[in-house]
Amino acid sequence: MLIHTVSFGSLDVPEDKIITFKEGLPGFPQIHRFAILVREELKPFQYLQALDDPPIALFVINPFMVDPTYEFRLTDSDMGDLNSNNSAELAVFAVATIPDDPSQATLNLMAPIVINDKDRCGKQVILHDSKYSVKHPLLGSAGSNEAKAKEA
Amino acid sequence: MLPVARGACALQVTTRMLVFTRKKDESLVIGNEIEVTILSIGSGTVKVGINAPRYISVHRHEVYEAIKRENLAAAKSQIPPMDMFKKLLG
Repeated sequence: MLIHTVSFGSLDVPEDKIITFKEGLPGFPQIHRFAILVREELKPFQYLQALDDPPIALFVINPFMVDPTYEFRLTDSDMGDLNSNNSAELAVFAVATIPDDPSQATLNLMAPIVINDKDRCGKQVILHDSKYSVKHPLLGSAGSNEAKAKEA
Repeated sequence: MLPVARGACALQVTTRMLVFTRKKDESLVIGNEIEVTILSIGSGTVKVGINAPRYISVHRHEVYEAIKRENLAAAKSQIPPMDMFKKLLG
């Protein structure tokens, strides 16, 4: 499937890399098909690239790289939506928001993107009763110290 | 030539707010598959139970709105200088 991306021009996404999000994403309910783009220039991030209109792309990252203690429980309903009965086969990503000042980048740990690679279904899971924030500082205390040093 | 009834059969989705008064343990049925029950009534809060098929997602409004706002903000992110994020790779 040939798609047009804002950052990388036209790309050919093989059919077996298309991930279906039945409900879309909050804010983008009309987008049902995505692909994970892996590019050297995006590392440590990857792109969750929409294949339907609008052709948005979200920075995603392995949340365990940022918080090794990150954990959550998927409900039976989530597992049903993901067509899975084994959470070990699922991949987890968190969406990053990178503002004009990238030192203030945040990670949405309250709504991880969970993907069943085998059946190619995905879902943004909302962790209602968790301690995790939609704006977890991505660069932690080191990042904010640098920002403080700049201000001083 | 007959005029074409454009979109005459298109599904029009309009919404309206219906208002009901319910007592504790009373319910409402929405459509054929959803039942909403008032479980308890406190001062300023009510506890609501929702029986719905698994494919219907139910969220607290403010939480859903926060996720929506964050996704819309995330979609505006520009590719930053990656050097500052490389340390995340460990």
